[in-house]
Amino acid sequence: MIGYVLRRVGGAVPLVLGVATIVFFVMNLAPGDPSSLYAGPGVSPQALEEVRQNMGLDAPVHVRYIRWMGAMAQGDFGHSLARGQPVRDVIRDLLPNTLLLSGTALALAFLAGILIGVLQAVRHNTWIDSSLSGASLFFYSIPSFWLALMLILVFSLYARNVWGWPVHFPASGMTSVDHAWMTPWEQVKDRAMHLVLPATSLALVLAGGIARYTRTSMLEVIHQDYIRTARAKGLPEWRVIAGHALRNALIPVVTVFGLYLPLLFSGTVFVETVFAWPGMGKLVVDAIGQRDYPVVMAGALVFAVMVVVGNLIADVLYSVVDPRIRHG
Amino acid sequence: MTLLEVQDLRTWFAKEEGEVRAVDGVSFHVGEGEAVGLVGESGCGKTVTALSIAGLVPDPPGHIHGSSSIRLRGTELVGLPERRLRRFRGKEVAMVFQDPMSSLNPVRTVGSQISEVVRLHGRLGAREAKRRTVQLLREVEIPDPDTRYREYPHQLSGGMRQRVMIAMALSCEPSLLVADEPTTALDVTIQAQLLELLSGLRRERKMGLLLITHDLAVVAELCDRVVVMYAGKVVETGRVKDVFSQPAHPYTRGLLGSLPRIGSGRRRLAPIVGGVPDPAGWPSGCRFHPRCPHAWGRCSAELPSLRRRGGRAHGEEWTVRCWLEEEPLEPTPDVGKGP
Amino acid sequence: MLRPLGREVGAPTSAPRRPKRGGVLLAILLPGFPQFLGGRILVGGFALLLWASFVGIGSIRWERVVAAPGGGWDERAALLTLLCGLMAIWTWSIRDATLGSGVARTDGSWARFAREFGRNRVASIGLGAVGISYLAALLAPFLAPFDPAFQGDLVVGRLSAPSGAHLLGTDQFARDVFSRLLYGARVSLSIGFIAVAISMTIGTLVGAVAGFLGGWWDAAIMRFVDMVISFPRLVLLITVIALFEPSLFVLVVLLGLTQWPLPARIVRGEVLSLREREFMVAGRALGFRAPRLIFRHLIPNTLAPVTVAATLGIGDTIILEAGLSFLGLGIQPPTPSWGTMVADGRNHLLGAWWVTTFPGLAIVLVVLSFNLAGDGLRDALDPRLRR
Ligand SMILES: Nc1ncnc2c1ncn2[C@@H]1O[C@H](COP(=O)(O)OP(=O)(O)O)[C@@H](O)[C@H]1O
Ligand SMILES: [Mg+2]
Repeated sequence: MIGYVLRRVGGAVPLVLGVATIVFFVMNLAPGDPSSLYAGPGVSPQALEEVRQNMGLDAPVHVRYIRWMGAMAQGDFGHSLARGQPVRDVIRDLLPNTLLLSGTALALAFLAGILIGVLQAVRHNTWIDSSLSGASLFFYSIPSFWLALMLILVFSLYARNVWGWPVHFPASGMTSVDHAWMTPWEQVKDRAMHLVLPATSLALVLAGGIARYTRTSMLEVIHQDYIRTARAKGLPEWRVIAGHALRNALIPVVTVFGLYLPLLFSGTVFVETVFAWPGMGKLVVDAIGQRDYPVVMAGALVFAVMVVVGNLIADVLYSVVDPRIRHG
Repeated sequence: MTLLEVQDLRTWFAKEEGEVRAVDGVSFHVGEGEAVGLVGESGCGKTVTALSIAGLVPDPPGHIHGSSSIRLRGTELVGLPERRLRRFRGKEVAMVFQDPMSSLNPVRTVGSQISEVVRLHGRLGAREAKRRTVQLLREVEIPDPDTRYREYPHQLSGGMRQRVMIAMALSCEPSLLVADEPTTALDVTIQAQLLELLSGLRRERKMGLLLITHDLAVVAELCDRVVVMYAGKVVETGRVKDVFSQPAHPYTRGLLGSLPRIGSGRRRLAPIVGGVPDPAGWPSGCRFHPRCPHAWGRCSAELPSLRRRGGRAHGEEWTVRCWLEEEPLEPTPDVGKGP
Repeated sequence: MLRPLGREVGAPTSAPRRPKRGGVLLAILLPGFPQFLGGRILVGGFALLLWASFVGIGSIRWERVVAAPGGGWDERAALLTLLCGLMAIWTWSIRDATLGSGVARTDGSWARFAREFGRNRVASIGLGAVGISYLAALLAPFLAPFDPAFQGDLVVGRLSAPSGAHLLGTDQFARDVFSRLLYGARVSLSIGFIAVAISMTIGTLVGAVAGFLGGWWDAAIMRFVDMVISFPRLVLLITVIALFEPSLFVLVVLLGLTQWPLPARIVRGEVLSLREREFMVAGRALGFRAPRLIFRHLIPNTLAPVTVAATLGIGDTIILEAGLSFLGLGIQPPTPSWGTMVADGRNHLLGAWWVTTFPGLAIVLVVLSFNLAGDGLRDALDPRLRR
């Protein structure tokens, strides 16, 4: 088991190196020297040359590449121009927020998706199955940024201003302005309320896809011989499903976990932007607007590493649900 | 009272290409502690018969006709609500399936899969159930049962897995064991060991056994009576020693003919020509007539009924479904009588 | 047989019908109607409806139609679409009514595939909806009540709610949302189509080469594919776009260049399984060279899964393009695109929900149609997957 995990970690290292390489070459070989972005339009050639020297851009590409990789390995992402802070500190402040949002969304998505998929498979070819199939495909087809805006429209703006519902959710930020003056319990509640809409808009889109996978996988499993064995034991149907079918059906769904991470983080970029959620996604989008070049590069790298780490988690989960891999 | 009495069992499947009459009016019985062999080529409805007895026919597409009757010690199982049927499964009627590779849940330990049944029907605590499970593993002659308890199916060989299946089946002391080709998927050497084990355990527990197989030698060795099926119908039933020494139905003769005989000097190979017809449209009349070497006019027109054969000398119940069988011309209802 | 996907010669499944004079006449007057009466309600009804709307558009917008040849490229394309569409429906309906549907129904693999697909109602409707959205985009110059850039009275006409004059209301510059929606469809649909075409071409080539060569090459290519797939595509795109001036061309190329790993993986899998099949072994034994084997035999046999991937990929790409435009990194104003339109309404959500809602709904419906059609294609190609 431990050997398996170590092997997987070993396999992930070249992946991260490769991704860092791609990021570097995309930024350095593309037309338009980053220095011109950095210095802004209309600066004198001398000033530009100075910026180039400061950024070390006058060195040949392979030297810069090695320098860059070395800096990355030490966790030195350079200095953010727009924020006047080391990029490392910016990431340290914002990454947890992104992890909170995407983690919550992922948990919600898998919970809902698996439940729906199982229900569909158990009620295969009934109206429940077909209507849930339609709903899954519908949510799967929704752009997350639009869903986020629609949720704001209904559950925040109209709920508060037009319909006057007793419950409505905040439309932006992680906390209310008076957060600091709240009791600890109120603070937790405040954070939770702020999390509801962004997490839901991310989760619904993912849940649609997960439900589709779970349904297919569950239908496959239900026809296996060992399910017949479980029934022959005299187990009630819900125990056959929960105790025997579900865990087998989850094996391919775990793969989806790894596949959906890029999708999740793409969604995070939009949802953070819409909800003004102070996280990595909003950071990168803002940095592009501000031409904050080191932040863009570091942000891209952080997202890639998050996917790699997520895949690592998926591999470990894989071996948890499937003993054949653990002992293989 | 007879242990199991199956009367006029009809299990049909609704398929796109029409109604598949996989089992179409099958009747037989198994006495207390009796071993009955159910034989026939593959595709003739043996597995479906077994599944029907345990109430495991997938519905849809399968359906057991309301006129059918399956009685276990007098209790009618057909039409019984699922909730009550469950109390029989695993407890009164246990099953061993053909393929031990796919019949065990790959993600759960062997021990948990057996103790689950023990706890379900025996209402034992966790520790008690484990003790019982280890004891069962020992009874089916699995070496080092304490270690095996914690292992997963993929860590066991095919023979070991089938022993696990048997342990699981025996765990609640069922009165009837239905074994559907339990050794077909295994090596020949292991087959013999396993069958010996099975028959020993059966005798010890005085358990009824319905053994489905196409290995007639096994039937001859282990079973008291035999039921021969063809195309969803019973064509011949009787005591093994009667049927095997003087097979009456041409199909039974064909089956026995394809068996290499030791002692008769030469190998007598007279296999039946052709294959089992498509169950979506059985042949008219006697379903065997297109392949029967003795078929005559009546065979393709009318379905013969099961008739009792021979006098008292041949025991109570040796029945054959064939137009060649003229004597003793005392039609029995389409039902096997109790002993 | 060298190619399993080849057309098989088979007997017609039903005897050809005798042409009915009345049917042909009806087909000329109301194409689709004889088919509708003949029991093919979905196909006939669709054709009839399409024909009716073409005729309707042509007569209501008669001035624009006659002015079209002298207008810009948009107008000429719209006119061409209108004429070709009418001709196509007529030809099909008359031919079908004359020959009877029996003749066309040979048992070739494409015919079988089409029938399998046609049996799937929902997927057929999805495909129909996809077709309609492309038609609507092409016919936008005739359909749109206003010029998409036309600004009404900024004081009175700004952010006005849906009404008879403005079906879907107006935006903050008093532009007609419905007209912009129609023109925006051109951007979304063409980008989706072209980008996916690029990525499928690259992906197919890379996958076929990797699978065909095998060994070291295969391992290297597939490692690279794994790497690109594990990168969030949106992050890669915004990183790269930050270096360029966003434009339609850049967007299409970048979207196309970032999607190929998925089809590459699919094609490689197919090729690996095809490689050892008898027709390939036979080809090698006959001494065919690698390019010929790849292009003539391997790639045609992977077209089916690639088509499915492409159909589903267009949906993803449309969403991605809309997202980039939403962030301001895609299509630049004043060109209308669905993503920018959603962004336009962001700050007026409470007062003018329609500005954001309708373009987003358009995205959802189009993507949903593509996904329905894609699911149907997959099921029709591989009935084993259907449940
Ligand atoms: N789940 C099912 N769905 C449809 N048809 C079935 C199903 N199970 C069995 N059948 C039909 O029943 C026939 C008999 O099958 P079976 O009982 O497995 O034969 P045997 O066990 O004697 O080899 C098969 O030919 C098949 O057509
Ligand atoms: Mg069988």
